[in-house]
Amino acid sequence: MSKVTTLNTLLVAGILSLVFLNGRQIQAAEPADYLSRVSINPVLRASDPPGSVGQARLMGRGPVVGYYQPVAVTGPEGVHFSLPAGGGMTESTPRLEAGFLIGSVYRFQVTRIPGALGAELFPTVEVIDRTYPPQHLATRYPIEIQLDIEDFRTAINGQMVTRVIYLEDPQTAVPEVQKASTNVPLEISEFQDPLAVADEYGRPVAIVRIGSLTPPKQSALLPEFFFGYPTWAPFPNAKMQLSKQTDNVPSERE
Amino acid sequence: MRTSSIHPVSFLLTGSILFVLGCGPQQLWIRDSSEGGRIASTEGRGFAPSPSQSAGFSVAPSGENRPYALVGHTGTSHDQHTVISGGGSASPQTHSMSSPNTARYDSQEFLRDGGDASPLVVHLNDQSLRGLQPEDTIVHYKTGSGEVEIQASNQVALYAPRFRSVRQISGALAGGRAVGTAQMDRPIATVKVDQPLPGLVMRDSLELGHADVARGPDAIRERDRGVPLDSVQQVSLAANVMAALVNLTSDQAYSLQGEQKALFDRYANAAVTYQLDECLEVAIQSFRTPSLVRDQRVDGFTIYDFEEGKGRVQISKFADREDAKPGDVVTFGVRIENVGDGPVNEIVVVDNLTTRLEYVPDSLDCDAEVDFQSIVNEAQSLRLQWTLRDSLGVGESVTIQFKCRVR
Repeated sequence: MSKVTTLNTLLVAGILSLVFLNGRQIQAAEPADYLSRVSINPVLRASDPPGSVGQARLMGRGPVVGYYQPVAVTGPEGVHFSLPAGGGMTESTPRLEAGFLIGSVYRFQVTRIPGALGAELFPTVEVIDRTYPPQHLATRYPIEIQLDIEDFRTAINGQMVTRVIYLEDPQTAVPEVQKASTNVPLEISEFQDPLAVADEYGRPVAIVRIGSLTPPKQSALLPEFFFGYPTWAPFPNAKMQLSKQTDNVPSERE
Repeated sequence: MRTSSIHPVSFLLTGSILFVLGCGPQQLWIRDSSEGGRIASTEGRGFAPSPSQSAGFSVAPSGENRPYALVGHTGTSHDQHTVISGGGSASPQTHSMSSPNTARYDSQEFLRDGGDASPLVVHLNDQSLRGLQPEDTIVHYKTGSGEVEIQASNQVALYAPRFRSVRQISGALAGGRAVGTAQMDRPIATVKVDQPLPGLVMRDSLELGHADVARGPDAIRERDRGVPLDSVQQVSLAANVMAALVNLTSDQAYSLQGEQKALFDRYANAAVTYQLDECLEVAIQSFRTPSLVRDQRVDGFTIYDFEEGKGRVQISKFADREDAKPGDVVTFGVRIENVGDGPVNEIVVVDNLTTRLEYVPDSLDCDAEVDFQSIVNEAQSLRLQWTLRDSLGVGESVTIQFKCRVR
């Protein structure tokens, strides 16, 4: 009799457990479940080696391969920029305009920095995405990279500045007229990923890395320093003088 | 001369007609003029780029001097473009570049104003509006029967991309900037990421090893029953003329014997060298003349039952430019028109400006008596509101113009 009661009890318990557990999946907890999913860019980070993010974009969708994305670099008053061309550098200009290949890394020269007489910096710019302008507006609306004196002073002091340029979402745009004085960057700590932060506010399109690395003395190392001299395209009707040799950049033919 | 049997030249003529009819403008090919170039096709009005040639500011890959030849495509213009390498090559290379003709776009690059985004605007009894989002432009009015109607305008899009940046300073002295670690967002799942190495990616390309192209008759003057015709069927693409003329496939054309090739050359040359006074007359017995059949029919029949004497207002919005940089001033216009059968009253036009549009004070221009009101909205811009003092009769319209500065 007691055996029958025990069996009945077990049977009822089994039926109840089946009823309550029906449709549920029992899984072990993943350690990642306890981490915040906000601000995570799981694969690509701005701290990756230069060119990694852009090369990954080339494997994505859209007509990005072979596209020369117009880019314009400006700085504080007096600062000039130039690009490597023909073994030397181009004529320096206060507004650097060129079409850069997506995924390639371009190193350009910064001279005439206010408060740092004779100092020259060689930042890099990596275009990681493109814009889709209407006809004949590609060079009128380039990716605007506006650097400030804080970037250069910090780099001269030996620190590393990483800027991620992003296309602002008009729905969440800052409600003020964009000028040189108001276009201040969003400062983040070194424990955050600027690529992920920029991805929250818009679409990241370029990464600028400003350090204090100077060109090597040996000309054989110059191609490595300039990331293989990727081709770039000047803007149409741009007045540009090539092959201007500078003292700090030895020619490859030396 | 009138022949009763099918002449071989008539065979050629018919084949060319069928070829021209079968080769529509939908599939034209753009290819690299040099051997081994990749091929892109046009699809409708857009431009489908190949992996080596994308739309826009694009040139040939890898610094190779390969001008692209455009065949049969009239929607894209070409110009020369210079590409410069920073290495030892002192002379810049010139490439052909297609003008921007992108079929895709990114909505984040455009500044939009107008329309009625979800949730739709609702007019409440206390004369307030609910569901008015930034970018919305609507008009609400009262009809002769006392009903309040709401109409949304079209949407105006300006190409006005704006770029900002995120800055991170790292290094030995950067610790002072960090207040504390709020969270760790480093991924723990990915142990290793294989970064793609530039220059090591192999791409397959479909290339023609060899192409035999025979020049056939470029134009054949058609004459039917002795009456001269004005239409000259021009062969638009000369790539496969020979195969199409003989009504054979390409594989069969390549397998022609020597005497057959001579026969075709003879007929082809004969068709070309005919003069006007010795035009060939061809009678085709077993072929029907090509005819164009339009397959049009009525798919549906909708009856719109408008209330008698009820007014309806149509609102449209426009801008004086299609692109703008930060700081530029854009003139917007809002036109409302009574397209109904009766007058409308209490017309109120509301334009809720988006974040990046700043109303220029005292820039209002209207061809009717209106009461203007501006209120700061949730987008840190202004909600502009015009109330017409008079009613709007049937067929009457009012145009409101104002200026905004792009932020």
